[in-house]
Amino acid sequence: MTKCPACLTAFPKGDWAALAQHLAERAQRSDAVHVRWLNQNISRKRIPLDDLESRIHQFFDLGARPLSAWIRSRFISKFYGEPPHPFPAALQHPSRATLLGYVFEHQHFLRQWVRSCAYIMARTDQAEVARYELDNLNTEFGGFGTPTPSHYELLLQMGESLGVSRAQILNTPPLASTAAAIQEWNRIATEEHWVEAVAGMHSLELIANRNLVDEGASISYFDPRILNGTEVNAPAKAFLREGYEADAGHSDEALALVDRFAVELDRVEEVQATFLRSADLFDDYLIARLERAAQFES
Amino acid sequence: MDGERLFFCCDICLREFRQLVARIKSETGWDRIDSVQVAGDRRGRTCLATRAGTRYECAFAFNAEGSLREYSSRGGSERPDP
Repeated sequence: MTKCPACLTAFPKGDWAALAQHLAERAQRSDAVHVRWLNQNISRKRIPLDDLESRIHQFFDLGARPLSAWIRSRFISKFYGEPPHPFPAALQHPSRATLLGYVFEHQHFLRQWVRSCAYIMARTDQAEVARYELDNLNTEFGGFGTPTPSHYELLLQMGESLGVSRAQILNTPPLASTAAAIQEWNRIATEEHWVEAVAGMHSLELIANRNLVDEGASISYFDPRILNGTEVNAPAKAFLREGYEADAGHSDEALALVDRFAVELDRVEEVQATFLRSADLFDDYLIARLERAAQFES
Repeated sequence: MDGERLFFCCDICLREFRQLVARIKSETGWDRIDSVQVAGDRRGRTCLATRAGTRYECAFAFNAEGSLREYSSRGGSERPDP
């Protein structure tokens, strides 16, 4: 099936005319999510329906590329185009406020991450997908004892090193954009097909995939030189380094699974739409980190 | 601009525009605005506003709900435009 990248409503496979009609109707009704998707991906001006259909078809066309290459290319243009997303831009040489914005919102993201990955494990019939998720969860949330804490623990330690208590971090509710994104990611993990959930969640780990610079990204997630200097403290380096080292492998491995199972299960178009929806949520969530950071700016 | 009928593609854009206008009026003390020219994209925009030949510039960005999350005055001229 084809799905709407703004609301994930399903249409018959390859029925770009139906999808174009749906998007045009929703935009005509001034629905913000559909207007946004059209503005950011197709055109900021109203265009004839047959032209819209053709442009949407082109947008989703993989050509000779595997699905993962299409996902990487779309991800790069959304987050690492010119100009790049403001959060990675701020993270190049992060202030205390930027890092605290990261901590306060990301702890909510990582709690949802556990739920999303657990749902995928529960719903997949593929042992290698379950094993991948288990390994990911151990790195991100479980950890391997004191010498090798989880990414979640490293995040909390970074927050504490910047002068806020663990209790304050854990007791602060998410900002509205974070809460809305988490709610939708939870829905995707529980209601959409597991291979869509894998693509929707683990494509987001591309944000810290250092190989994207070689594929056309304008910047990396942060300037790697900060890992060697004195610009950020040791707990911040430990947190950033863990993502720097793990996320390239995490995203590459997940996208290899997506390449295989999306084709085997005949769900390529569904995966494309769910990835796009998740990327939009992630965009909003990254802005929420900056909003939170603004609360710590003096 | 004030008193002019404007089209907005969605309620978030309308909400953003209303906040921008209110903030410019608050910053300048103007009771009305003659024109605004907005440039940029969702990552960040600039605005040139005019009132009786006086110019005022600002930079701003919104969050996903359409609330102003960044705003900075970039000054303007006190003299009327020639």
